[in-house]
Order: sequence, then C-alpha cells, then structure tokens
Amino acid sequence: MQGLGFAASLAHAIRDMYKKDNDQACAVLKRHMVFYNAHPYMASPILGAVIKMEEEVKGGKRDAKDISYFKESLTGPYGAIGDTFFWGAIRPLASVLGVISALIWGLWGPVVFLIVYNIFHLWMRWFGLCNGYRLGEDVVEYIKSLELPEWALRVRLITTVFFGILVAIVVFKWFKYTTVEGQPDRIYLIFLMAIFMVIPTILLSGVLRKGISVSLAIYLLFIPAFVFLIVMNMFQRIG
Amino acid sequence: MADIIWQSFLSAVVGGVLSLDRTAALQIMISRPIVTAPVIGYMLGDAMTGLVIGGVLELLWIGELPIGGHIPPHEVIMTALITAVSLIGHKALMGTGIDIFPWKFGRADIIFIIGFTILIVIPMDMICKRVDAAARSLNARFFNAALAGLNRGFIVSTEINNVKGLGIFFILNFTTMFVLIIAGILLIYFLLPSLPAVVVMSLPLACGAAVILSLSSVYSAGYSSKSLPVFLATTFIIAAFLAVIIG
Amino acid sequence: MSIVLVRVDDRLVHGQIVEAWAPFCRATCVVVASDEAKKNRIQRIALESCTSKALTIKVEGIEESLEDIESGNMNTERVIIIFSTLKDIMQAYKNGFRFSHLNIGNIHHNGKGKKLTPSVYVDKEDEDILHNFLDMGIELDIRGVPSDRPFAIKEREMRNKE
Repeated sequence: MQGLGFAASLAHAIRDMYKKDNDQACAVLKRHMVFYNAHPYMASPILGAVIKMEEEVKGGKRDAKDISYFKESLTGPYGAIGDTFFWGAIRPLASVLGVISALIWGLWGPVVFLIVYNIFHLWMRWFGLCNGYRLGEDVVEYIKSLELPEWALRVRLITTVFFGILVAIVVFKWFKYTTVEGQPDRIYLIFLMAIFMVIPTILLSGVLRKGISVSLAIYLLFIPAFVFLIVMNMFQRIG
Repeated sequence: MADIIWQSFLSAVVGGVLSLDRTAALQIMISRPIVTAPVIGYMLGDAMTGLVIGGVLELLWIGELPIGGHIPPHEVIMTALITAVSLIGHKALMGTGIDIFPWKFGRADIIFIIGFTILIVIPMDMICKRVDAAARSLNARFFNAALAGLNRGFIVSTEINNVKGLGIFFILNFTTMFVLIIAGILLIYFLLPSLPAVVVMSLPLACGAAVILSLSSVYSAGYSSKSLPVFLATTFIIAAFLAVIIG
Repeated sequence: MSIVLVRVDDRLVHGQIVEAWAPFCRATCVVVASDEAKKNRIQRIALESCTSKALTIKVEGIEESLEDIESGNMNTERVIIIFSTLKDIMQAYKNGFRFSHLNIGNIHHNGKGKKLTPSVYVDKEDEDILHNFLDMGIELDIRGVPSDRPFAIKEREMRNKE
C-alpha cells in the first residue's frame, strides 16, 4: 500500500502550495489517497511531475483527472524499469563489488556496497525529482532517453565480469592457503582449483534457474551429503 | 542468562531498526545481509564472523526479487537471526563447558554452530513472511485513518499515519526477531549437545552448501547468452594473473 | 511471425510481462494493442521506455497491430500481444484476429463487477465475451505469472449465471 507513502511525500509540497486554504489542500491530498504500487525509486520522477501538474491545476491550466491518469499509466512500465534496473542489475553489481571488497579490505566491504548502490539510487531520487518538477509530464521523455533497460543488460554483463574476479580471488585465497612457494607444478594447481570451483557453480545455477528456491536447494545439497557421511560412518564401524 | 536475553534484545532492536529500510522507509539498502550481519556481529563483539555470514547470505539471496508474484525470503530477519543465534548461541554453549565438537578448532568451531543455525533458521522464513503480510495489512488501516483525517480537514494526517505505519513494522519485526532468536538459542543450547557426533560433524556441510549456492545464485542472477565465456575467461585469467604476479 | 502469448491486462506492460512472461516465452517483442495508449503521447512514451535490445515494445492501435501482424513485418520476432480489456480483444476477434489460447492477467474495473481472482474482475459484458470464447473452444488461462496455478473458469457456473 504505497498510496499513503506517496500522499505523505506530496503533503509538504501541497501544504506550501495552498498555504491559506486548508480544505483545498486536504481535497487535493485525498485525490492521491488511492492504491498506488510503483517502484520506490521510480516514484521520484513521478512525484516531481505530479507536483508540477498540481501547480498547473491550481492555476486552472489543467484538469485534475489528468494527474490520476498520468499516475496510473506510468505505474506499470516504471515498475518494470525499476525492477529490471535497480533490483535486477544495480543491486547485484553492488553486492558483488561489496563482497570482493570484503575479501580484500574486510569491513570496508559493506561500505563499498552502500556507496556503489546509493550513487545510482540517490542519483535517480534527486535528478528524477528535479527533472520531474522541471519537465512536468514530459519527464517521460527524459526517462526514456536514459535507456535504463538497455543499461540493465550491460550492467548484468559487467556484474558477470566482476563475479569472475570474485571467484578468482576466492580460488587464489584457497591456493595461498594450501600451497607453499617453490612447490613443483604449483601454477597448474590454481587451474585445477578454479575448475573445481567453476563446475558446481555453473551446474547448480542451472538448477536455480529451473525455479528451485535457494532455501530448498541448501537442504537438497545438505541431505545427500549428510546421508553419505552417516553411511560411511556405519561402514567404518562394521569394518 | 540475563546476559543472553539482553544481547538477544539488543540484536532484535538493531535488526528491527534496519528492517524498516526494507520496504517502509528510505531503502538505502542497510537492510541487506552484507550490512545487517556485520552490524549485529559488531554489537555482539565479532564483526568479522558477521561479515562472513553477511557476505555469503548477500550473494545467496541476490537473485530472489519481488518480481512477478514471487515473494523473496525476508532477508533482514533471516540475516539477523542467523548472525545473532550463532554468535550468542556459541557463547552460551562455550559457557557451559560441554565438549560437543569432535575436533578442537579453537575459534573456528563456530562453523558447526553456523551450519546448525542455517538449517534451523531457514524454515522460520514462513513465519517471517506471515508477519510481513500482517504488517502490510495493518498498514492498510493507517491508510483509512489518514483518509478519515483528511476528511476532517486535518492536513498532516497523511504524514502522521505514515510514521505510525513505520511503528507497526518495527514492533512486529522486533517481536518476531526477539522470539525467534531466543527459540534458536534454546535449540542450540539443548538440542545441539544431544545430537550424535556424526550429525554434529556434518553440520559444516550446510555452510559449504550455502557458500557454493551463493556463487551459483550470482551466476544465475546475471545469466545471459554471453555469461559462460565471459565468466570462464575472467575467472581463469585473473586466477592465473594473481598466481603468477602475487603468488 | 509467431505469437507466443495473447494477454488481457489493464496495466499493459509491467513487471509480470517484462520479468516473468517474456523470459518464459522467450519473447523478443511486445505489441501493446490499445487505442487509448496509442492516443496518449505520455503513456506511449512511458511504455516504450521499457524497450531494450532483448525486448522491443511497440504501442499500436488495435487495427494497426492486426495489420502489422498480417503484413509479415515481424516474421522473425516472437511476439507477446497485450490488450487492455476483453472488449478490445473481442473487437480484434471480430476483425479477424484468431488465437487458440488467451491469458488473462489483470482486469480491475476499480473493484467493481464479479470477482474471479484478486486481480480479475468481470462485468456483465466481460462475462458474455468469456462465454463466447469458451464456446469457440478458446483456452482461457487466468494467471498473473507463469509460475502461478492457472485459475480454471468454471464453465457451468458461468452458464448458470445467464
């Protein structure tokens, strides 16, 4: 139920707009108290545009119905764009960069995660709101020109590159831990270790893409290994 | 004893505050595991273990998005539970002097506890999802209250009721976490020492499963037709580079 | 040209289409067949901003989209076609658009009318149209996303309502 949140964000601007007329301001806010389910960040440009449009309504240049139609028709597509770009692309990128940093610099990892993510997030909040207010309903042109779904595809590929680096760092830590310098054929070992990490990753990701939830998958992996251990233990006792 | 309850209480308060960031306010992602776990860990005196737990859980749930009718796990509550239960439970168990571990690992024996905690906390997600749904439907009441306020000409009623909505999320999430943390610690305290040695020995496998699944869930979250060559090329080139230059 | 999904959805393009149905059907193009969306410049641009290299969004009027499909312009595409109401798809049907499977995602009517699922409400006219489609042997499939369980329309129940 984001209708309340949207109206609450709008309340300050509306109060400023109708300083002397409390009833009018309440009436305007009531128009915004409808079910509204948009992506939280993509609501910023919509909010900006709605404030601009409310000013136009106050000046008698626009019909109030335009605003609800505007909000309704943007909800679906902007929800999709926000999901694809922020949830589907930027957050995984920030997570992977955060974990890489955690492997190298320890507790700076979460800080890196927050910085990377919020650069994009706050950028959309701030410029979305400003451009929404500046452009009014034409803010849709601005959002279209950003080509966020296109960038989401690129960011996903970049994330895969960083994920490769992450796995390489994990492999390297393991390699440092188990081998000593001057050991013969040491350098080939790291390739073996990388293969050992990469194959289960790829195979299991196929299982996850089939729609098996991660929580279930943990049990599915644990239980066979557990049974195997118990059986081995029994044989040991008999032997 | 009082110490354990106090620490559980603190973890639940911090978890409750961070959980507001998930849907109710801000959404600057301090509710993600990679932030939540080290923060709770720091409070309980072991930020590094928290960071390891957080890093793995962050990647584990990277692909679970609230898209197309799918309800992802309640990652803040789950992370707070896993971190708090394993750290507090570990301390509680060490305090008893009961020797349950087959080998001496020193500090690393917490991996047994984390494995056990992962296995008992995951099913608790059902409860967390119920609580979340309840919080949302309670929030709808504030929507109506705000509307009624506007009808009376009370202009700040939207903002006030919005804040009340935050309060509901905090109270419900806090209570859930506090109860479940205590439940988890009790399980560790009473159930874990009575398990047969072979079961205890297998517990780190749960951690292993979580780690390997966290890697594959990143791969599947970013999957496209170009993923395979890009992933293989970077992994092997960087690994070789690290081994030759630094190793 | 192959149409991989025919859908009725008053929210037109949103997360369920882009993130769930498009990958599920391996679609490359979404055609929004709605006169209203075509007429409204702002809505058209908003819908089109979901376009990426992997998925093209086209907003066309009902007539125009049918012509587009028949002309063979999109021979290499796998197309999802979305209508905003059952009335629109009936109009398309009368103009010669044929399909064997219809997915119904969202029809809200502002909560008025008979409730079939939490996201599908039908008024009297909609019921007649559904009834017509059932008679013509078209498979009706009410669900938001592919992983949902399809809601079976009880044919008899609808007949009794007549």
